[in-house]
Amino acid sequence: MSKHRLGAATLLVPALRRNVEVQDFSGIGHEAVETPALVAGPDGLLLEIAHRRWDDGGHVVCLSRGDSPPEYDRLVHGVRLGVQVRDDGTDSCEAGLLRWDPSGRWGNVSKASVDELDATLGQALGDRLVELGALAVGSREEVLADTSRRRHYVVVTTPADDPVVPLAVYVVTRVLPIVTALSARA
Amino acid sequence: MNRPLEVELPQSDSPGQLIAAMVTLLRVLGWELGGRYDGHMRPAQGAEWLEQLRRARLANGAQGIYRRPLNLYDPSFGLAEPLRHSDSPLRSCLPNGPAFYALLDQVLKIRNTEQHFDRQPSVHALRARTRIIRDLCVAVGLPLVGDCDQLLARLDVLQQNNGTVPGYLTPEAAQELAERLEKEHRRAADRALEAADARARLRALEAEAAGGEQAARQREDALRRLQQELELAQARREAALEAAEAARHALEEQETARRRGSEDDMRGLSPGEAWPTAPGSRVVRLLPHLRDLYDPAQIALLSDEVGPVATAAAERWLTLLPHGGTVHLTPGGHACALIGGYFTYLGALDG
Repeated sequence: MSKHRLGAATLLVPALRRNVEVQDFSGIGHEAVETPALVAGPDGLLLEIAHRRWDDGGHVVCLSRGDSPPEYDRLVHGVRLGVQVRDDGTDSCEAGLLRWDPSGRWGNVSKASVDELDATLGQALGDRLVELGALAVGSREEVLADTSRRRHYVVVTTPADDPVVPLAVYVVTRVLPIVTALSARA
Repeated sequence: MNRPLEVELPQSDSPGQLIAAMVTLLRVLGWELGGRYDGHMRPAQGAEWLEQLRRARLANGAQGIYRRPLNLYDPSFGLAEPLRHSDSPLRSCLPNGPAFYALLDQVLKIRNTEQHFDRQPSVHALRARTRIIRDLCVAVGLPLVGDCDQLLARLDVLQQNNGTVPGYLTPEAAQELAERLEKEHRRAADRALEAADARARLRALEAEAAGGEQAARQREDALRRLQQELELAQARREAALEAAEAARHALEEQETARRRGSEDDMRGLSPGEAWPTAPGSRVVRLLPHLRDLYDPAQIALLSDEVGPVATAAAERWLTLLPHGGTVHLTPGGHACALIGGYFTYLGALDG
């Protein structure tokens, strides 16, 4: 098991891999390799999440919130993190940020700046993800030479078989915004 | 809702142990009665029903406990309110008939006499009072009846074993062993100092080995004596260390026996059966997807601490607790969880 501190949360990744059948964003079924993990944190936060990788794609999802505060239901019912398989044998995922509205107990993911991501984590996200095994962290333009309309989105590239970095990106971009909102409310 | 405390099963017939059993029995009785009343009153009267009841009683001239905000879980309230007020709304969730109210009266008297330290506690008195409280629990249908049975069984054990649970280390015996251990350690340390001193003098004499014959003979004699002293000191030190080791071993044996005694409560239990005693103090979380156990105190998975037995146990326990949840572990690895409002045995960590 590996254990990683990410802001106020802790990510636990056991050495467990299992084959599962999953559906991608389009509802197409795939046989995937699943790496389940656990996110623990303040206010009784305890989420079971999983990285799932199939032949030409993958995602990170929340499987269960257990007895965590009900706000985390949003993660069980959406805002998955997509993992793209690249031609050069690496994977990538975009670090968009969940914009959490505490009054409506709802939020969606949208483009985030590096400063916003660093503030969410409480340290430089790029440095932390590189420590965890990321190959590169930056704008799509810098990292992938992307010239499309999405070129300013922050992207993270990882070795294809490494689940830890996408799991960590999920924690920072999906879980920590709710942690921060709940702490502020308390 | 979880109980805030459990009934203490006495380890001996000492007054403190017997008092602890009776006080916790009454407290849990108050808790379960309060829970029963709240479950009955809240849906119809709302969350303020208790305060409304108090005001109504005050308006009718009631005194005593009604002068201050009521404690729903105080057995004094839970027993006296329906007993002394024929119009009490709490009566509608209790059995009817004079026999039941006579029983309620008896339990209230037990509560009051215990509160006023009526007499020296004894196994006999505790048994008699537990039986009466048990009858009330049976009549009302309170889970505490299981605890009463446990307590009565424990009192039988005490009576059959000269007032102690087999293997139980009395505080006096523990104190005696601890003192013996400390004494032997002190003695071993003194002997070690003697040996070190003898060794130092020996080295000084050896350094002066050169010299006149007579002086040399005297030194040889002194040397022999010192060597004898040294051997004696070393022998004493070893003996003291052995004694300290024996005392430490005796303490460990007693602790193991005590633990085994408490684990005896689980012997013969099958998964799914009612948990017979206070839940284990180590709280872990059964994870339905990871199929493992999470220890919040360590922020770690139990499989990381004890290996695959944790994941194997999680697989078995998920058949009883399919959505996971809080699991209580004893030091011996026996697990229970709240299922349907009752603590239920899940099995042992090692199968």
